[in-house]
Amino acid sequence: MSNALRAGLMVERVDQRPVDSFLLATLVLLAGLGLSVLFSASYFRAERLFGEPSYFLQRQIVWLALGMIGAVTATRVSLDALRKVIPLLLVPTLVLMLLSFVPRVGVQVLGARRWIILFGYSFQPSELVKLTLILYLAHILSCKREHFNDPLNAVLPPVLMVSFFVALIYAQNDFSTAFFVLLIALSMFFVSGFPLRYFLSMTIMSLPVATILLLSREHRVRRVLAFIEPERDPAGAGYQILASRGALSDGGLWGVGIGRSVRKLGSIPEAHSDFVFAVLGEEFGYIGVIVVLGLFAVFAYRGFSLAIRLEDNFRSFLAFGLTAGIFFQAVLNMAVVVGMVPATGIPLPFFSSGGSSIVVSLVMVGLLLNLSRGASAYEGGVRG
Amino acid sequence: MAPFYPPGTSSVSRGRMAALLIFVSMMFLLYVGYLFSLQIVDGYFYSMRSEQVTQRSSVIPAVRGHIFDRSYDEPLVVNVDSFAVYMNPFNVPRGEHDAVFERLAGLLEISVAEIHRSVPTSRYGIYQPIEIQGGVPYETITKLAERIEAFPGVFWESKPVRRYVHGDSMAHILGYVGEITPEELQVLYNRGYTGTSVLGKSGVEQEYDQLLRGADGRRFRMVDARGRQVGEGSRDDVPPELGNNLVLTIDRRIQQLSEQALGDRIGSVVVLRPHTGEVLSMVSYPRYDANLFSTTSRTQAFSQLSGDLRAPFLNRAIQSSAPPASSFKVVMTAALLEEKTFSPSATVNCTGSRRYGNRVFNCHVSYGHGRLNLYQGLAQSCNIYFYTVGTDYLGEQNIINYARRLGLGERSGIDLPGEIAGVVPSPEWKRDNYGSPWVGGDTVNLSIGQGFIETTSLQMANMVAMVVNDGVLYRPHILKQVRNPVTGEVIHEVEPEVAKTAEMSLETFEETRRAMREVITDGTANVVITTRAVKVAGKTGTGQTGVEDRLHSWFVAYAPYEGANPEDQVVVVVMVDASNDWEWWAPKAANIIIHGIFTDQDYEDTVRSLRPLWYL
Repeated sequence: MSNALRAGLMVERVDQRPVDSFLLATLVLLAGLGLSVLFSASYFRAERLFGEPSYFLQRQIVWLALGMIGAVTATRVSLDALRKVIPLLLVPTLVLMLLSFVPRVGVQVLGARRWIILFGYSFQPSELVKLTLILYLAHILSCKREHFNDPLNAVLPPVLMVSFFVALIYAQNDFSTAFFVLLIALSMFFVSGFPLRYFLSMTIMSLPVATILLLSREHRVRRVLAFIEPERDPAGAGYQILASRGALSDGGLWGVGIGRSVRKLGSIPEAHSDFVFAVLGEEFGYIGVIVVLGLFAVFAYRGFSLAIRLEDNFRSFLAFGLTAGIFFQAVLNMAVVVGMVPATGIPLPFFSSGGSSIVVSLVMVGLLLNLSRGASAYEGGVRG
Repeated sequence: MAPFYPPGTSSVSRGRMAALLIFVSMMFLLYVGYLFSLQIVDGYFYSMRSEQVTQRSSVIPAVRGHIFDRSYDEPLVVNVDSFAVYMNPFNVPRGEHDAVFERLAGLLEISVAEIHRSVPTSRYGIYQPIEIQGGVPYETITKLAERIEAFPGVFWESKPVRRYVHGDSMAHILGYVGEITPEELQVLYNRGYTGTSVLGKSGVEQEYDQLLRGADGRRFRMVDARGRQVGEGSRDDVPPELGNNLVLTIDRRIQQLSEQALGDRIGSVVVLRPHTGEVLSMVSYPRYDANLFSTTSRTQAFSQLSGDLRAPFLNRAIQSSAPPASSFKVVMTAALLEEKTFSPSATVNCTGSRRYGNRVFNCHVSYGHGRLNLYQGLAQSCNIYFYTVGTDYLGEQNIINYARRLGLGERSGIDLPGEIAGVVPSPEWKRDNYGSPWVGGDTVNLSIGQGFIETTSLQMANMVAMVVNDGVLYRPHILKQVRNPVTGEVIHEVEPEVAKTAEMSLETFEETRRAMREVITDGTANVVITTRAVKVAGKTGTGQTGVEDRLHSWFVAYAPYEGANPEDQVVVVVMVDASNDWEWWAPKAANIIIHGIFTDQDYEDTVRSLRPLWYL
């Protein structure tokens, strides 16, 4: 690492202006609420499986603490220095992704090779891809956006990079995350001013491929069928959706009360991770759901308006990508829980149990807070 | 410091961002509206109904499939009715747990501590039925029913238990069932298993649990606020799916013949069809009777069996290994014939011992066999012959390679849980496990199947099957058919599947078979293999254990030797453990088994027709 680079990452060079306090407050509320809902949703399963009701809670707190350290660091790095090392960040991300295919390091859980085990902790490298790819796209698209008429030079590299990572995630048998990463990437391409004719040709090319990939595994086909008509197979693939919808409608307006969800005692599968929102809806009712939706909406509003306000393209695209990365994921997860889109394995940020997701989400928010420093007083140019 | 990249601004991006945001906001609002209809509108109507009555569902347990032998006439495993007593700790009034436990312990004739093990203090608040005892007799249930008000939170259910019709026979093949453990639940939580599931714990019951278990059904009924049934449920009952019936490749008569031929000697027997890989019998002694696990004294029975030093739960045919000793010389013979480094007709002079380095290795005939060629060497099981060809003409690498090519040192993939791989040692293996280099003495020992090498009985049967099949090994299997439990229709038929092929010349296998035949006609097994029902080819093995007078007895064989329809051929392997008194029983047992199979007689008739015989 060069000296200039090292100096760039030094804490003394940190921008001292305050971060967006709205954003910060939203984050704290979401994380706190998420933790209590997670405990309620997971204690039964934890007790049954591990004999320790707070098993998932304890692990989540450890990850949350780690993520906080990451987030604080992310608010204090120099973004210019960070920008310089973005191409270098791709390498460790790629290595971690490839490690999941290495026997003994990569572990297979329920047929998917998504996790790697390092120092006794499992980590899902595809979560890291989200962060790395958002950084990379913000960087490359802001550099190349003047040359979009030269496809070979400006369009091909980011498209290839995205396709490569999405293919890797797909190869881990993680269709949902692959699809989600692709969605984020496409929205970033879109806002960067990518000519629409490229979108058209890319869509035409990728639709048949995506269809084949979607239909190539039995469980995916069953999930799609269950989405179209869950009552057809109430004990099998449609079960998750019916159970989570039942939980939500049991919740009604006020909810059954904190900790008193009945459905989590077995009938909602993965109540502690991908379907935690169903427990929230059952215990806190529509009121609680609206509060959480409202928090995510405030988060999105602050993030997106920051993206529009920031004048430097890199920062603007980055703010957009980070906000979208959290917000779209939340919306997608909640849409799955109510059965508006087919069941996928996407966690709800800050709520679902899962170490890699919480750490990466917090680092993403940290970067966003960093971008928000004095944004209202921002008057063009990059502070040197 | 100057910025690394010039700042750039673009109105296109801002416009597009705004467009995208409007789109997302609309989706978001749509979602809020959808949730409103789901939670408030639907929920409102739903709660209107649930104020008077609620719908409850109860489980209709699935019936586990039966297991048959290959004749598919009468089942080996059936279900019989029995009762189980449960407690829902949540329904026991606070502070009364001890009193209820005591009364219940008295009724069921178990200790309070046992109930406490099922219902520890930490689970008093849990709303979940916990089974206290299964296999409860009908009389106890009537007593419980008379005084049910004295047992709050206690109830019973009819719960079928598994009946293993032939007692301890085939115990290692069939296995047994039991309640799910927390460890198993962690793995199976998302596959339809619950905390009260009963599942296979070993053998076929474990291997094919998913086929046997079926799926529980559900009965729906409307109940009022006090839990009384007020009507049928608004949904139709979901009938349980019956578990499938399984037909095994095991031949009940050959299994019983093999069990009786081995008798009460610690050891194992494998009989299989080399042409298909079907296992006709698999015996391991000592056995256990799985019926004990569904009686009230199951805990006691289980701990007694677990504490038995002879390890009755171990399936010695696939889960224990021992040096194959002289039966390994079949591998050596095939290796030598294929490598052609020493002519099969060339001779070695056995003087009763040979020196390697500073160690002297003996033959089992102290005055020596004299001059022997390959066929005579195998027939007489001459150690000196195989020491010589092993060290001087083959070398350890060739021996290791041929052992592996013939399936030793790896799992065969039989459809039973817990198969072990055995050991084919190599210089790397010895360095890793003993930290010392391979020496000439190791090659000498390996040449006669002693030293580090260890094989299971099934692997030796597979090795013989490959010799019989000109190098093709069909995966050994226990499951023959899956049948519909109601119609008996065959849902799935297990087809023979090639597991391994040894690319060696046909001549090698033909000559190896000839050499194995000479073991019977002119060699060590001549006096024991007396059956005239069929021509047998085989090899004896006597394994040293390092303890004087404690020897493993092996016999690996197949019959008919040649000319027969390959479908009629069987491979028989008998292994009698060194912990038994030495009787040289393995070839004797094999003689009885082979004679019984080819004369179609049971054990008693076989023994009668073989008499007079010096060892019977």
